[in-house]
This record gives sequence, structure tokens and C-alpha cells, in this order.
Amino acid sequence: MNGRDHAAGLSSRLTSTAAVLLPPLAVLAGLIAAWELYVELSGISRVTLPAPSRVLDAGFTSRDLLFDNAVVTLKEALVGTAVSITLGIVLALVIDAFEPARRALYPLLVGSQTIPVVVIAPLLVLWFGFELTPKIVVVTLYTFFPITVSLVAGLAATDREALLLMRTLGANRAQTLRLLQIPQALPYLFTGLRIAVTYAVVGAVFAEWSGARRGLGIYIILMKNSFRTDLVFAAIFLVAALSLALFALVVVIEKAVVRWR
Amino acid sequence: MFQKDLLFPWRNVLDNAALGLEVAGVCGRDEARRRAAALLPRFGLEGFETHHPAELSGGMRQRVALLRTLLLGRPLLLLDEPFASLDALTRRELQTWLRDTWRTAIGTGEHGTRNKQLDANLPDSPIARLAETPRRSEGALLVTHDVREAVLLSDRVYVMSPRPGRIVAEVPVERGPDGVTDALRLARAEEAVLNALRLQDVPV
Repeated sequence: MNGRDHAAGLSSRLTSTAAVLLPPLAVLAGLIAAWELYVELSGISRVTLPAPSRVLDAGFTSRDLLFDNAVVTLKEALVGTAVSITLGIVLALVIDAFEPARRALYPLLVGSQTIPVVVIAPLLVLWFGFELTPKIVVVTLYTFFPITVSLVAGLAATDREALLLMRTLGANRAQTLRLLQIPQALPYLFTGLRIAVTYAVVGAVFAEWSGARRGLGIYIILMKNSFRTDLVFAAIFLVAALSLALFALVVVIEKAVVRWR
Repeated sequence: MFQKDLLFPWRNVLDNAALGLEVAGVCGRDEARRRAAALLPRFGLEGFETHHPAELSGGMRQRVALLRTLLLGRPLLLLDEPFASLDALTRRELQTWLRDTWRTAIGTGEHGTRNKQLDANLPDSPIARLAETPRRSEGALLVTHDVREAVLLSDRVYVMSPRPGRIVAEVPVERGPDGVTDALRLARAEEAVLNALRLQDVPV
């Protein structure tokens, strides 16, 4: 590829990125403008509903505090997701390898998703204290399911004739898994991971809700109790931004790893 | 070798061709790649080492699949309709290519010279071993529905009946003194195969 082609490719990529980002950003800008206008015209109390400009202003003033708390929440989300990935890979491999394991474990996996996390989160605090552990448990409960389920589907989706080819070549089980099934299932793993990371930050906030020393969840409670609705909103926007950033990170890694698609 | 090429989309041409050797563990991954790379020109794949299957034509993909099979060096090649999924023109091209490659590869081709490069890279292969013998087609069993393909590529054609599949006729394909089958001999063999099929009430 020569320089000009490269430049053309880059500019067309920028154009397509803009085409993806512009419509949602335009809608968002419209909503924020409507919100600002409503607060301005209705004269609503700023404790009940602060204008977006005020949220931005308050958020900027408290940026150090917001940042410190966001780092804590982000760490919980990342560690929880890492645990989920490990757990999900192990569970998926076991489920794929042994049919009895599939029958025994799959219903339990689905069952785990019916646990009302809001209710057991306080219990987790009771058992594991105010530190990192209960947060990781909550985030893992939220995120391991999509990872496990999509990876199981990916391993099971292996082309039957490709499996036959590996047998013809004399491959043993480990080789079939390493050379065929796992690379083949990678796009599925990333699909699950994309869903998982959007839950991760919210899960961490939820866990902090039930008891924490620091983090955006406990920060939101504290601000609400001191009638700083503007900072509650600022923290909420930060949670959304963190989730989007994690999602984007997964997409970037996926593009780098799954290059053949 | 199967109807579908079954190349792995995440492996490039070289790694796909080397897959069999890698699985068999007869040599390291680098050595497997080196052996595959040495044969790429003969398979019309030179310069495509790092291309992925999605970037190749159907004919090229099938050639990679054949190379993957050949590199294993098994005493007998089983080809199950290897060209069935290709379009008519590409199929013709690959049939001719396979015939010529096979003939020159076993060293009794037009020039009567053995392919040194091939020998060096397929030390234990049927091709290398067959090079010692004048007979060519001991090395491969081809299953096909294409009568023309059968007579073009084979020394001997066995016609099978539809359910239950039994061998009902054996048609030898004659070769000229130069080892090449001319159009007349091909036509004769083709006619014999078609007649055998008609006797089985196969509409041809």
C-alpha cells in the first residue's frame, strides 16, 4: 500500500467513524438543550433538577474528588471483569468438554442470573466487609454470564467438517482445542465481553451502594443526602462515560485480535 | 482432502499449509513452514505466503488445501471430490494443473527429470517414493461425479452403482508412449465410463 492509498484509507476511516458517532451525538445534544431550556423556563428548583450547565460546572469544580472515586470504581469493574473472563473461560471449556457438565452446570448458570443482586449485595458486605471483595463478587455475578454463554456457543459452533479434518490429521483433543476451537470461538468471546463490560461499571456502583468507603456509588449516595443533585448527575455521567470507554476498549482489542473478519 | 477447502480463516496461507505437519509434530513449526514455503511456487501460491484465505480465490484455496494434504507425506492420498465446490472454469484449470503437477512431481514427466526441490522437501512422501517407480497413480484415490475429471486424472476408473454402491466396471485409461493421454484415448475412456453408468440406469 503506498502513502496516498494509506492516507485515503485513513480519511475514509475517519469519515466512517464520524458517520457512526454523529447521529447519536446530535440526538444527545438535542436532549441536553431541551433539558437546559426546560430548567430555564420552568423555574424548577435546582435541587430537584439542576440544569446541564450547572451539572458541568459543579462536576468541574469537584473534578479531583470525582476522579479519585472514579478510579476506585473503575478498578473494581476491571478486576471483576478479569475474574469473570477467567471464570467464564474455565466454565465454558468444562461445559464444552463434558456433556454431563453441560447438563449439570447450564441450568445453574441461568439460575445465577435470577439472583436479585440488589438484595444480596448487603449480605456480601456483611460477609466480606467494606473492601474490594464484595464489589468483585457483584461485578462477577453481573458479567460472567454473557462471557460464559457466548464462549460455550462459540466452542459448540465449530464446523463439523473442520473437526473431521483435525481428526484426519491425527490431532489430539488439546490440539483440536488450541488450533481450531479456541481461535474459532474468539469472536464469540468478544461478543460476550462487549455485553459484560457494559454491566461491569454499573455492577461496581451497585456494590458500593450497599457499603463502601470510596467509589462513585457511595459518592452518589453522599451527594444525594447533602442535596447536591448536580453532583449526583455529574457522577452518573461519569459512570456512563466509563462504561462507554470500556466498551470502546473491548472493540479496539477485538479489532486487533480478530483480524481475519 | 475434502470438498470444502476447510482452511482456517485466522491462519495465513503458509500456516494453513503447515497445519498437518504441525499437528503431526514431525517437525517444529518453523520447519513445517519452511517445507510449505518451498512448495508454494509449484502450487501457484508464491507471494501469497501471508495472505489469509478470505483474500484468495476458490482455486487458490483448494490448492492450499491440497498442499496441506500432500505435506503430510501419507502413502495414499484420498481426494473426496476436491474440485466439486469450484466453478466450471476454475475446476478445469485445477484438473489440468493437478495432472501436470502430479506427473512432473513423480519424476516421469515430459522432461523425465525428477523435481529436486520437491524431493528435498518431501523426503518421506509418496511422491518422493513413487519417483523410484514408473507407475504414477498408486498414490491417490479420487472420488468424483465428474466423468471427464475421472478419466483426465486417473490411470484406472472404477464405476460404482447407485445404492448399494458396488464396483460395477473397471475402465483403464490408456497412455501414449510419452505418458500423456491424448484426446482420442480420453474420449474412448470417457465413453466406456458413461456406458457403464448407463447400464446402471444412471441418466447421463
